[in-house]
Amino acid sequence: MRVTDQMIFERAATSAGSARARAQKASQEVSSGMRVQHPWDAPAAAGQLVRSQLNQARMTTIASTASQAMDELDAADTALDGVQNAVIRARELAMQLASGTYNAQDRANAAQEVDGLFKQSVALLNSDVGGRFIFGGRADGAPPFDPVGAYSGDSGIRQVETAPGVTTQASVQADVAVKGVGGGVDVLQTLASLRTALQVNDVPGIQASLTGLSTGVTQLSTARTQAGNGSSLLQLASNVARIAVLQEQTQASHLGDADILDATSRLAMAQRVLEATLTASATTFKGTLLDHLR
Amino acid sequence: MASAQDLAASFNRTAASIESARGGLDANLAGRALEANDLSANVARLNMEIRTARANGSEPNDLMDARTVARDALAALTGAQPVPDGAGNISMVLPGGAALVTGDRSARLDTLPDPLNRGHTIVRLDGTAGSPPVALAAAQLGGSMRGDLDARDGALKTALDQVDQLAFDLGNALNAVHRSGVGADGSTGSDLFTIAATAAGAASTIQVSAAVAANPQSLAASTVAAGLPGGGDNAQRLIDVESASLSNGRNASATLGALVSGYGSETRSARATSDADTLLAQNVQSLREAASGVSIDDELIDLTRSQRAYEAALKVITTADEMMDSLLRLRG
Repeated sequence: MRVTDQMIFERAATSAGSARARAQKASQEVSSGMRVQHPWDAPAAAGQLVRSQLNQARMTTIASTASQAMDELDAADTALDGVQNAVIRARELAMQLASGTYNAQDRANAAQEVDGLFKQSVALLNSDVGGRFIFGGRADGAPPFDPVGAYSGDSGIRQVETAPGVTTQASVQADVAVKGVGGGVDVLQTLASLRTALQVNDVPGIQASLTGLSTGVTQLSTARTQAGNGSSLLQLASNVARIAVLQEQTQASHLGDADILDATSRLAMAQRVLEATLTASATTFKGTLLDHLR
Repeated sequence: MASAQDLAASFNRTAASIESARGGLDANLAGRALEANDLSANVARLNMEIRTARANGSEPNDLMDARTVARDALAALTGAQPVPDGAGNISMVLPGGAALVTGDRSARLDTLPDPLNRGHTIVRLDGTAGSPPVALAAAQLGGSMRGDLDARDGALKTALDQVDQLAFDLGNALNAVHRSGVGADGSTGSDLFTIAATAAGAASTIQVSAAVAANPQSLAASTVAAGLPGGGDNAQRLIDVESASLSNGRNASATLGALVSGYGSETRSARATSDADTLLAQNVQSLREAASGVSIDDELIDLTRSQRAYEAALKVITTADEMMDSLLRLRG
């Protein structure tokens, strides 16, 4: 086959261009640390990367939401603990002042303490986290208990996503735990009744409040247990979601990140090929009869 | 609200980027059409000049070389094939059969917006014989112009159509859930997004509904009015739309992944085809060069051989002259 000068020059240009492109690609891979820079670098991996990134975002949101809900449940547990302690103290006072050894003045003094416990309980039950009144159900934009203990919240239960498509209860139902809806006692009303009985020196009334107070303690204890369980579940969900995010990141890294050792090796080889191509081209350019007929 | 606006803006940006790439190919087509017109006119003019030169008894090698260069460039641009005639002309015929150059006359390629293809350029042939302009389909062209058309209306259009469909399906699915919910202001039945009536162009026009954007309280986070203001169950249903099946049977995440993979595969396949065609073109060019190109070594060898023959002939003449001279001296 005849090899013309144009063929030699065009072959040199094509070979050098191709070698330079390979060196450039390897160089980009090494400098960016990414194997998949464009969808056409690895189409299947690029598609998986997109799904992985979306999964990461979803799981990050789940972890964050579960963590926030856990904070609210922990705050609810703390508040219920305070209310429970107040009711236990009120029960102690009731048991103590139901006996005949105390007089009306003693009971009036105790009524003041119970009034303080009542107000303290109302304040605790109006706790908010980030502006959300955690005992209001879905009516969480305003304090759910008024100064006399009337409830303006609702029976809504906050649901939080703990895994894609899976939700769990993430709030305490104050209408059940405090107001006794569904067969319990109205804790605040019981405290108010005790306070009134103490104020008017009504010993039978004081004795009558004991049962309600005991039921209230149990009721609050049950609510605290539910809050604790919910918090644990949310903690677990948050941890699992964070692990899932790490797994997605690892998978994305496997799919899209460059193997630096491999990429560096390919860069060195591409540079060597480029140098060899340029040297070979330069040598070919010299090898004509013109160089020998002078 | 911010997420909804981000989603709409992402669709808008993606559609704009793809449309921008398609617009860039339109600009390429317009430039290539002008270049092709110059080359066609050149080939036609050179046909005439070569014919004239031959009629005057000379062999116009320079003009033929110039015509070959113009012919190759025109073929690379448009895919037109050279067809020689008995008179020494070269006509250039497009893959669809339309003639770009016939003898000493050339046709013109025009580009103009096509309303049926979002205003993208259509290529039209203004014929050589007074015939009305004819729109050329991609299959009736070749070379770089065909490549531009294929890229614009192939991989890029497919990607844009898929993004449009995703925006349309996802936006409507979110709207359906949003309409069934209740906002903190008590409003209900409102769309979250304003979307085109059909999928065509949905990605470029999708916006958060003006009413919701102006009044974030109308974002329907609750399923029932009684759940206000803290109910977030409808917001959760909005999130769940991400996992719901769209019109193609896949969810949004899988659709996006398939879209990216499909675009990558198509681009990769086009690159592989381009690389293979480049190699094929190089091989054909090498064969042509081997047959008709100039090798300096060959020419030098021929030149040296001719010089040697010339020197030998001179030597014969010189020797004969010397012999004749000797004979004449002997007689004298």
